[in-house]
Amino acid sequence: MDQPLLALKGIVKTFGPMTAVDSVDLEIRAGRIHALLGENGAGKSTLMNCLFGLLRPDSGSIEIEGVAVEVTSPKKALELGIGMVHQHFKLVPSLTVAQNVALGREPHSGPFVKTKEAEATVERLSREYGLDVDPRSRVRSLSVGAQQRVEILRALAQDVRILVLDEPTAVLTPAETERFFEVIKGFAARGLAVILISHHLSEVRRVADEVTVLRQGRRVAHSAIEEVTNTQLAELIIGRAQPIVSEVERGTPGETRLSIDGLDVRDGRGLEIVHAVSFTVRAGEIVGVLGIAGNGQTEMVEAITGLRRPASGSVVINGIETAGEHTGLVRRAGLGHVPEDRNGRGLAGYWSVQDNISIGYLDTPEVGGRLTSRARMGALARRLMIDFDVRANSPQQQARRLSGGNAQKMVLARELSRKPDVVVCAEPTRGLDIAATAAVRSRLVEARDLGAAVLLVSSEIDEVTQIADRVLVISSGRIVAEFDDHRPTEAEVGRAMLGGHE
Amino acid sequence: MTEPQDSETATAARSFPGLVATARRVVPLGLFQSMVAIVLGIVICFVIMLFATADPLVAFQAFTLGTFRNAYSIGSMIAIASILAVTAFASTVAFRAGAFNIGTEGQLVLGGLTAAIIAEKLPGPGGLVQVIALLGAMAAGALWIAIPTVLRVRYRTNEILTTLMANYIAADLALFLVNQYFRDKGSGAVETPPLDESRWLLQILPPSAANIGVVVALVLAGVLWLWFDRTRAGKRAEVSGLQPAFAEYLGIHSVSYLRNSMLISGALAGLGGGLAILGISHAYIDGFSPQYGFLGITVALIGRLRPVGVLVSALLYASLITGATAMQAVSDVPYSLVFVLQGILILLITSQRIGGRRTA
Repeated sequence: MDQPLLALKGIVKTFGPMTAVDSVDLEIRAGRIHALLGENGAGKSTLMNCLFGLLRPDSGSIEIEGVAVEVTSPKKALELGIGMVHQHFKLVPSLTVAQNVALGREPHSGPFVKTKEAEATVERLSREYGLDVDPRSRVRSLSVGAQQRVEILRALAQDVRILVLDEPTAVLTPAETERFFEVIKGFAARGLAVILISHHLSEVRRVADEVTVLRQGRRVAHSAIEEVTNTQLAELIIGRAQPIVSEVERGTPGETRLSIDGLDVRDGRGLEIVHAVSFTVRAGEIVGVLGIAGNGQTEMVEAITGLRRPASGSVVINGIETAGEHTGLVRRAGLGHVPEDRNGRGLAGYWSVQDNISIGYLDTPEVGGRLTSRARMGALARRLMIDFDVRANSPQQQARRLSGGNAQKMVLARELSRKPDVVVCAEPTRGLDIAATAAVRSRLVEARDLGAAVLLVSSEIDEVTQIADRVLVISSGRIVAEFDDHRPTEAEVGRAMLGGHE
Repeated sequence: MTEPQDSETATAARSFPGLVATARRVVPLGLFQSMVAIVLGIVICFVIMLFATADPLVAFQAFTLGTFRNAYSIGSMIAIASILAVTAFASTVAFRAGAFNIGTEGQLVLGGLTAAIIAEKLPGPGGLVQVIALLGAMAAGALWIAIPTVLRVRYRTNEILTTLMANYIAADLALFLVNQYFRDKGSGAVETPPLDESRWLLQILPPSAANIGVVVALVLAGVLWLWFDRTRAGKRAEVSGLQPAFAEYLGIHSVSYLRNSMLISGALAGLGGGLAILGISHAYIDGFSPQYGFLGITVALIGRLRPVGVLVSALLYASLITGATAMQAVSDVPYSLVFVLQGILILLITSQRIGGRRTA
């Protein structure tokens, strides 16, 4: 074999007791597109951050053309010809394309920037690689796809030879994605080495030459793309089917409480991110919506709970049409909501536990009425803190001083204690330790057994397969699979999540 | 726009649109921080006196205790304190709802002018005219903040800038209106004709300026305490300012609370102006306000945005203002030390906790 352009050898990176990357080897060749696959937390980002100098590996070496190098900082990485395009752009919207590309290293004579020269560079690179951006337009006026090309131009302007693209298509529309693939194929044709981090098997199959799969920090496969099937890849990514038998019995559903029909939702940029989603949730069942984060779940939940106006479709809670209505009305219709953004939406960190709980009871005689009372709020808070095992020094403790688990239990105390008919919870155990996770899940099961219709939106496979009675799989804003009659195994849902059925 | 920028500036610039869209949260000082600020502020004033005068102890004694030398200056102190409390309540209402109304001074000036005009022109029994004049002052203050409010609520325009700029417009507008239409032709100063005594607020410690405005301040304190601590609307207004995303999630129309809080804040500042005119200066005089509006911001923050705290800090601050007058008489330290103190306090307060933070 010829010498690889870049070789990572035995890279190890640990964070405390956890090994994020465990002696991983990776060889990247010039003129090839190398896909890096793996679940969230499989170690892809950690590995790439080691390569880009954002993290220092505990052991292992990085070689470029056979010469060992030390990548101590992103600046050093760029000098070595390693460029990285992050998922979130780092551009200045008010500056022009050329100004952004030249930012920090403008061609100048004395104190004056040679704008013409900067523009000429962008024009040349843009033509050479078929990127098609006008160096003089302002970044804020560009589409996301064009902004991404500016981000790539910034790397190219540094003469990079190795380009790392972190989930580049996550922010693109299908048409932009097509175009983007042509561009990166062009890079490879010109001798660049491209590392493509992705979740989508179908995309990887279309552009990549080689593929490496990481799982739990280890490299579990490396081969040419022609030599593996999508099914094999899906199994490699999520691991062999390990049948975990759930101990939670399935519920006995009653009448329909939440029904979603033909829901289309646009994101903040006006792109349709949820397409024609329909499903129902009945009293006494947990319906799990499972998908890799960023496939429209956040926007879907916002549309159901009144935080975002859907483009079209209907949301019926307890027989009341609530699509496009304010959260106040949606709540009165019978919704309890455990939000994904716990600290931003689910609680006020500078408020006490007591205030955070009783704010959900303001419209009840328990703390409301003509005048509220601190004594009654305190009594309510103390009662619910015991019921939901919220461990705080006192009801007066500020919520931001709680651990993640206790903060989430406080949110559950507020939302579930009023026995709402419909409970929508998004990523309810994100960032929680094992004990808190178990407690939260059993609360949801308990709410179901008391007759609530529970919609559980999660990216945790085991969460959904353990407690959901029915499982829907969401991918790119569509429901792509449904498991009605049984709790699916991890392998079954895993394949559907990664688009392996395609 | 061609100077080099590091990537951090670039990131900050990228996130700027979000900053405008969310409310700023004012986290009230702790009791200890608040006391540290005032003590430290007074100590620094003393250090300045060491350099400014040959006899700093005399000056310092007059500054801190001069108010209490006789009943007259205690009366002045009470009169000033009641105005400061009202303008500080105006700031409190806005700050607690997440709106930085820095324009209380302008709202106060226009409120004062409105009260002066109504009190002068409207015939009728004194008490009734006084009430109408004060209501007019509130309306003027609310009207003046209505422009920044609409800009903030509808176009997410930063209200710090708009309310601050509105102060200057208000000052010049008042000057123009008085000069053009309402000026006392017999006077050399820019002022409206002196008000008839029936229009004066009832004095409680004659001949000092202390008047029943202090009752207004006390009643307001009670009402605001009820509103913030005992009503649902107050709780909802507070969470709307503290964390709009949380408020919306809870089903609260946070924008309405923001809007109403701003309007109430403007009305209270206008009321402060009316009280100052009817209670102290008894005519609209250019410069009748020794920056009651701006001082009210400091008083509100030192008072930790709580009604009782504001009352205490208004008394304290007013005693320093009256003391500064006495100090000017007995030593060569000028009255403007008060403004030095204000600057120091603002620096101390902001360096401790006031954040222009975005919600996550």
